[in-house]
Amino acid sequence: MKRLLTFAFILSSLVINLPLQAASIQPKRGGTLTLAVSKELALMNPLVNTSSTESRIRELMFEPLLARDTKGAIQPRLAESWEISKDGKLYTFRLRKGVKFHNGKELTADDIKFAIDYTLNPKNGAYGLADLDAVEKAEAIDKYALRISLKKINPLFLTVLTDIRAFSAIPKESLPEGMRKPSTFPPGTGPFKFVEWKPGQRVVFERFDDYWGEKAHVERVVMREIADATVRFSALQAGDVDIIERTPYEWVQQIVQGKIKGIGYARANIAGARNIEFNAADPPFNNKKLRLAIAYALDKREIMQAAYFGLAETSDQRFPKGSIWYFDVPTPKYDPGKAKALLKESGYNGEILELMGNRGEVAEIEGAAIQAQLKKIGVKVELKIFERASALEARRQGKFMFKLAGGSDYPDPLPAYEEYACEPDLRNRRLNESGYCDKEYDALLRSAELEMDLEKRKALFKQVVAKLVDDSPFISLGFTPRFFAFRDYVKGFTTNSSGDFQPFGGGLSRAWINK
Amino acid sequence: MLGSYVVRRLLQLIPVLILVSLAVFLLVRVIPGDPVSVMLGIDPDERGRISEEQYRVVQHQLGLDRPIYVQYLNWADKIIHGDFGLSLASRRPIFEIIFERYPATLYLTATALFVGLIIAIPAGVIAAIRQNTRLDYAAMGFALWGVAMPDFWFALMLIVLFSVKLGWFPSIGYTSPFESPVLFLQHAFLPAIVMGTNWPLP
Repeated sequence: MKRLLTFAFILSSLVINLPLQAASIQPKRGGTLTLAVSKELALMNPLVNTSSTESRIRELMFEPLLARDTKGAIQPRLAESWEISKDGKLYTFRLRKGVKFHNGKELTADDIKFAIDYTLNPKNGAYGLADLDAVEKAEAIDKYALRISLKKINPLFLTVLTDIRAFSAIPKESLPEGMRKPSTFPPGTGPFKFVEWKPGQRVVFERFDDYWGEKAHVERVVMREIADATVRFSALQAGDVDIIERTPYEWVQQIVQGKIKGIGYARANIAGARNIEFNAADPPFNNKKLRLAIAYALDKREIMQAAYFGLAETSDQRFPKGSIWYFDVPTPKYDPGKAKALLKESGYNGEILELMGNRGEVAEIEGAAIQAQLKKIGVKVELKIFERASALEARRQGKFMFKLAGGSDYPDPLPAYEEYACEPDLRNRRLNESGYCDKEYDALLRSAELEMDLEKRKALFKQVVAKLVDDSPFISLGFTPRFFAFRDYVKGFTTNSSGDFQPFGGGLSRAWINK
Repeated sequence: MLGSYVVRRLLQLIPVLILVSLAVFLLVRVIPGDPVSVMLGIDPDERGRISEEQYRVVQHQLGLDRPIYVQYLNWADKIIHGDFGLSLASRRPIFEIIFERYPATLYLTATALFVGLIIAIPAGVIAAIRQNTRLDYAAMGFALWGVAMPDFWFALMLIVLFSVKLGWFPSIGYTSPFESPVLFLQHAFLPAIVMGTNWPLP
C-alpha cells in the first residue's frame, strides 16, 4: 500500500455537530435544500475521479462497502460483516440483504465484483486502482457473499473500503470499458438519487425512498456552482441558496463574533494541513542543524493566526492531538535562543534561503510571517510564489530549498509517513519530495506495512514519528478547517473532519428545513 | 487581376495557418502540467498516486507516447475535420461543452450591448450638441467612470445592494430567454449593467 488516501480520518473529537437550536423538535420532511458548491460535476462516472468536490457530490448517490465511525473504527455499511483469514490475505464479506439500487434492483455480490474489476482494469482510468493495488481478485461466493484475495498482507485494506473513491457499489455492467464518459450516472445505493444535471446551472437530486438506511428528510437537494467564495456568501445572504461550502474565513470570523445574524456554520476541523518541507537531499537543507534551527525559530501560533483569522489549530505531527496516531515524542518548540545556537553550529553565513509556495493559496501570508520570524534569528528568506503546475515540476525535480506545502488528512499513518521513504531517483521524486532518505526509517516503515496488530503498529509508528521529528525533513505548522455556512432555518446538518457533504450518518440526508 | 490577387492571398494563408497551428499545438506542450494526471483525477499534491502501468495505459490511449510530430499531424488532421477532441476533465467533446454554454454568453452580450447603447447614444448625442457644456462633461465623466470602474468590484457592489440588501434581483443563476424572458431579464439585468457601463461606447 504505497498510496495516499485523502479521505476523512474521523475521530470523535474532530467531528463537530453543531448544537441544534431545538434538538427536541421533530425534523420536518420535505422541501428543497440548495447547496452552493465551489466546483461543478465534470464526469458521470463514479469510479473515475476529477476533484474532491466531485467525490463529495457523489457521496449523495453512491456508497462504499464499509463505514468508519466517529472514533475511527470500521463499521458495517453495505457489507454487514466480514472475516479475515489467518494469513491476512483472504477477506470474506457478507452483504446486507435487501439493499436497493436507485433502479430498484437488489445489490448482490456480483455487483461489487464488477465495481472492483472495473477499477482494477487500467484501461478505465479509475481513481481507486491505486487503493486496490493489493487486490489479486474478487469473486462472488453466493448472492450475498464476496471474497477478496490480496497479493500481500495489507493492514489498511478495510480502511480503504470505507473510501468512496476506492470504489462504490454500482450495478454490474453499468459502465462500459474504456475512458469515454457515460451519458448519465449509473444507479447507486445512496440516500439521494440523481435527477438532472444542467451544466453551468444546477445538479438536482431527489430523496431515494427505498434507501436501506435512514432516509433523507428533504425532498430534493439542488447544487449550484458558484466558484467565487465571496459571491457564494452573497448568494447565501440574499437567500438564493440555503447552504454553502468553503466559506471564506473572514466571514466565518464575523459569524462567530455575532456580527452577521441569521447564519449558522458547521466546521470541518482538519480539512487541510499546512507544513514546511525541506529539500533534505540538497544544500543548504541537507544540513540537519539548519533544519532544526528553523524548527526552533518558528512561532506556529503566530503564523496560523496571521493566515487563518484565528480559526486554525497548530500541530506538530501529521495527525492531530487526540488521534490514536498522535504520539508523545520530543518535539522542537519555539525557542529563539536554541535556534540561534543551532544556526551557528550549522555554519549558516547569511545566504538567502528560498521558500517556495503556491499562488492562490495563503502561502503569501504564511510566507511573510515565516520570513519575519526567521529574520529575528538572522536568516534571510526570499519568498518564491509559483503557479501550481510549475511548482509541481520544481518539487519533483528537487529544485527548491524549502517550501510551504498542503496536506490532507490521512486515514492511516502508513500513507502519511511513506511520503518520507527513500526515493530511487532524486531528480524525479514521485512520493517523497523532500528527498529525505534514512535506512533505519525505511526499515521501520516496512515492518509497519506488514503488522496487522493495532498495538504493535502503534509502537512501530511511534518510532517512525520520533525518528522523523528528530531529523525534521518537514515541520507541521497546523491544520486548516473548512466551513459550511447556512441559513438558520437549516437544521440537523453535520459534516466530518474533512468537510464531506454526505458523511455516513450525517450530512445533507440528516438536514431538514424549519420554515 | 483581382483573381490572381485572391489566389495569392489564399496561398499565403496556408503557411500562416500552419505556423499558427504549430504555435497553438506547442503552447500546450510548453505549459507545465501533465494531461495524464488531469485525466486520472490526480491532484498535484497527491504525490505518486498513479502506478506506472496505469500511467502508461492512459498515456497510450491519449497517444502521448508517440513522437511529437506524429502527435501534431494527428491533432491537425482532427482539427481540419472539425474534431476538437475530448475534454481531459470531463471526457466530453470540446465542441459540446462550448456550445452548451455559448448561448448564455451570446444572450448576455446582446443584453449588455443594448444597455450600453441606450446609455451611449443619447449621451453621445447630447455631448455632441452641447459641446463643452456641463452636460457634455457629465456624459464624458460618466463614460470615463464606467470604463475605469473595475467590473468585478462593481458587480460585487451591485450584488450587495440589489440582491443582499434589497432583494430585487437574484445574485446567481441563469434562465434561457426562450424558457422565460422575464426570468432571463431578472438574471441578466445586473451583469448587463456591469458590462454595459464598462464598454467604451461613448
